[in-house]
Amino acid sequence: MIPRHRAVVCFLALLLAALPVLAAGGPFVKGLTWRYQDQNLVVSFAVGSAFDRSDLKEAIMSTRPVSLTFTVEVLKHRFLWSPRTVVRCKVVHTVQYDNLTRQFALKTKVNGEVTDERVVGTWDEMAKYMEEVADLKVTSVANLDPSEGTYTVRAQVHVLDDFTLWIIPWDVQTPWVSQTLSTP
Amino acid sequence: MRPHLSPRLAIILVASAGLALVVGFILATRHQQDSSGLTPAGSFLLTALSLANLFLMTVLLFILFRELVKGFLEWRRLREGARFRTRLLTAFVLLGLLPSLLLFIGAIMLIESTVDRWFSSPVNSLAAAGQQLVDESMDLVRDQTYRKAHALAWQLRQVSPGMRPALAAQLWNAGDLDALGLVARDGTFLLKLPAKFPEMNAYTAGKIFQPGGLKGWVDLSPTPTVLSGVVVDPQLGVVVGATLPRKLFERARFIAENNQQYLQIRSQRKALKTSMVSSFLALTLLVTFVAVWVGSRLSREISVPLQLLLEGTKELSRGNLSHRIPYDARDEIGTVVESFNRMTRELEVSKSELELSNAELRLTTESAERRRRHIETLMETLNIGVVSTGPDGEIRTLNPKAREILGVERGQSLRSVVSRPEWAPVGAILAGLPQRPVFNHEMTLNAREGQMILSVSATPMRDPSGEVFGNLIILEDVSQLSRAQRIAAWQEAAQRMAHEIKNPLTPIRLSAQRIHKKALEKSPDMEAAVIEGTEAIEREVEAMMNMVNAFSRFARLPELRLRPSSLPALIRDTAAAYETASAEVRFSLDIPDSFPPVRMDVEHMGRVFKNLFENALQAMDMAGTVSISLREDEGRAVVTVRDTGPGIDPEDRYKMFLPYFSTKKKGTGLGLAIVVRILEEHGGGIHVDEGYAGGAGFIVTLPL
Repeated sequence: MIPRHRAVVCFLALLLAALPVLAAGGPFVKGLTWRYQDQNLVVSFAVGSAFDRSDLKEAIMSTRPVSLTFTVEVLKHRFLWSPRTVVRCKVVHTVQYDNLTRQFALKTKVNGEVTDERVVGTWDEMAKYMEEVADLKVTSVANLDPSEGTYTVRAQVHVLDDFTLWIIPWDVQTPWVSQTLSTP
Repeated sequence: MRPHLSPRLAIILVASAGLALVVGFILATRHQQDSSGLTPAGSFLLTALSLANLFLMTVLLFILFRELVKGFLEWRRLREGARFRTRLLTAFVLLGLLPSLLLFIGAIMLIESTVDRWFSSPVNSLAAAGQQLVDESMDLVRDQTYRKAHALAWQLRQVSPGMRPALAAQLWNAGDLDALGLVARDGTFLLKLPAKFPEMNAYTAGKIFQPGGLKGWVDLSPTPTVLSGVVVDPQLGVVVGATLPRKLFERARFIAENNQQYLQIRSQRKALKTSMVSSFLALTLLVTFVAVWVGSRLSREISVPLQLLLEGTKELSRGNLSHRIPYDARDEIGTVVESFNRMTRELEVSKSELELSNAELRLTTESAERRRRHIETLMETLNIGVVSTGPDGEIRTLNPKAREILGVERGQSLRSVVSRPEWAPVGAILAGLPQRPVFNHEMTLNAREGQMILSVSATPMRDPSGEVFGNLIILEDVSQLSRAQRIAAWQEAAQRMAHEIKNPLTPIRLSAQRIHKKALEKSPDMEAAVIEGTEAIEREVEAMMNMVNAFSRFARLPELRLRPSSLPALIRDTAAAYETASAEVRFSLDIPDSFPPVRMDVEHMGRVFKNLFENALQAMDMAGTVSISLREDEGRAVVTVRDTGPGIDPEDRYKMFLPYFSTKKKGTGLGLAIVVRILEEHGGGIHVDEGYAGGAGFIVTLPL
């Protein structure tokens, strides 16, 4: 490898190594738990540090709808092969602030279907609602076959659409957090 | 050779970038003007635009990088024209990039400052103040309802639980409250006045029974109402509602909605900046790309034919004239290339012609050299002297025989030789050549080795245009030939003389024999025979005596008495004597009136002209014209006598001036010999007029 190519490889390696550092300090998934309940895989988790962001607070207080997207995936791991996504579940919490009544209209969609709507009067109530996904039925146990391999549940939260260096789309989202599922 | 980036691909890229720009600008403009905020679709479009711009930027940067690297590599490889091309490309890139970059930086700064200024004071303060006004107005109503709820709850606690609905209805009827309700812990209304009371939900009902109660909850349906509720006892809560004044509510809504628009835009200022910066960046890259592409294309269009021209000149310097530049264009560079090709073509043709001419010239030179050697050899071996002179009479060449005749040593100037007295006649000829281009003369010279009879002839040499560039002089020593001819002539003269003497002897002998015979026979006619015989003998002896006397006169001419005399008068007088001889004879005289006197013996010279005129008359058989002219030529008097007779046989030209040579039956053959003798004793001469073909012609010369 000639020195010029070596320099390029070194630069790319440094860039890759710096990515986690750059991502540190942002929102994160917390409290990922799962359980089997009524022959369903039920997952609960929350996002941390999301509402510490001034841009998110400003976005909410600007009265435009702001959504947090919670993604839960169940992966099936195969030997010498890339994991297969068994199921993907998306929960979208949307909040829209009314600056006249000073109330927060909240809405939850699970896989595109509205499952909950409510209005709260305080920021903390709104934040608590937006941060959490509780007892989400991800899939039926019947879809999981323990004899075929191991399964993993992982979660990620997308907080904001953002751009870096003015033009590069660089969404604010948490890293994936995963846990291995035990046999149902 | 075509540019690597095809025009079609370039057009597609430019069109894509242009489209992205247009969309970007439209979106940016709309976001500036539209207060509804960035919808999910708008966000998606913005993201798509950013991605498209990113893609285009990558492509453009790749092309830019590729062109630059390629140019750099070509430069390093020292390809023909690469340096020029790289410089041209770099210039175009810099010309396109620097202004674009400056504009881009300026645009970023402008966008940053402008967008931030949009959301700075006083707009921001105004919006905040408006919102604060709404909030304070609403808070005022909230506080009133909350206080009323507390007051009502206190009053209700003063009575028994059974009396509380009645008391509540009484207080509502007092008209101080717009709405009033008693709520059980499960959220159900025990009492609501009026009947169209806003519905309680689990959240609001729960809030009533929490510490602090429900304070200023705004319910917009069916009418904008502010609700506040507190606990009366653990199982009962009271809710007080105040209907917002319609005008106040509408103004508050108006302010709130406008503030919403402002806040939404403000919250999206980063996206707005992104959109605008992205558009400007795309524009910058587009300009740069166009500059690079145009630069690349132009540099190729210029450098490629330049490279071909360089290769062509190298081929030319190697001597490959058949090399042609394969480039066809209608621009100025194409004209240069075409001129180069035409030049090489003409050079090739010229070279071929030159080589052909060279070969021909070599052949001609070799032929000329052979001819020169041949002529040189001929000249060296030739027994006659050949001298060539320039147009000014300067001697250029002379062969060995000429050197021998003239006695010129190698390196010696010929002029120095001919300037010697004995060669004066030759010198005069050489000096007079320009004036007398044609010359043919025989002269007797007293050279060192003795008397020399020299035949001199001169002919002008002319170039193809007829211009005289010199003279060719032929010198022939005819002394031996002349001597041999004289010996032969004298032999003939002796034979004639013997014959003439022998002729009378025969009748003398016959007469003597007859007399002798008559005497022996004692013939009666002896007396007559003696008389006749002696008479014949006397007659023949007389003839012999005359002949001997004539020869004696030829041999012993009387001494000349030279006196300056008029030659024209002598010629006129002599001609006049013969002009009357015959009516058919005419004398044509061309004699100047004034002529220098000539030292001569008039009597002898009269004999010369008489001989010449008599010969002419006899040759013309007494009928014809005798032309006589006199002129002065280089210190000599030249008399030309021409008749219209049959002329002189070329074989007789050398003999006719010798004694006893005659073409006439009764001539003595001494006339012209005497003429020559007289003229030679006068220092002059006579020769046949070679240039006259109408009869016989003689040229007499006498020194003046």
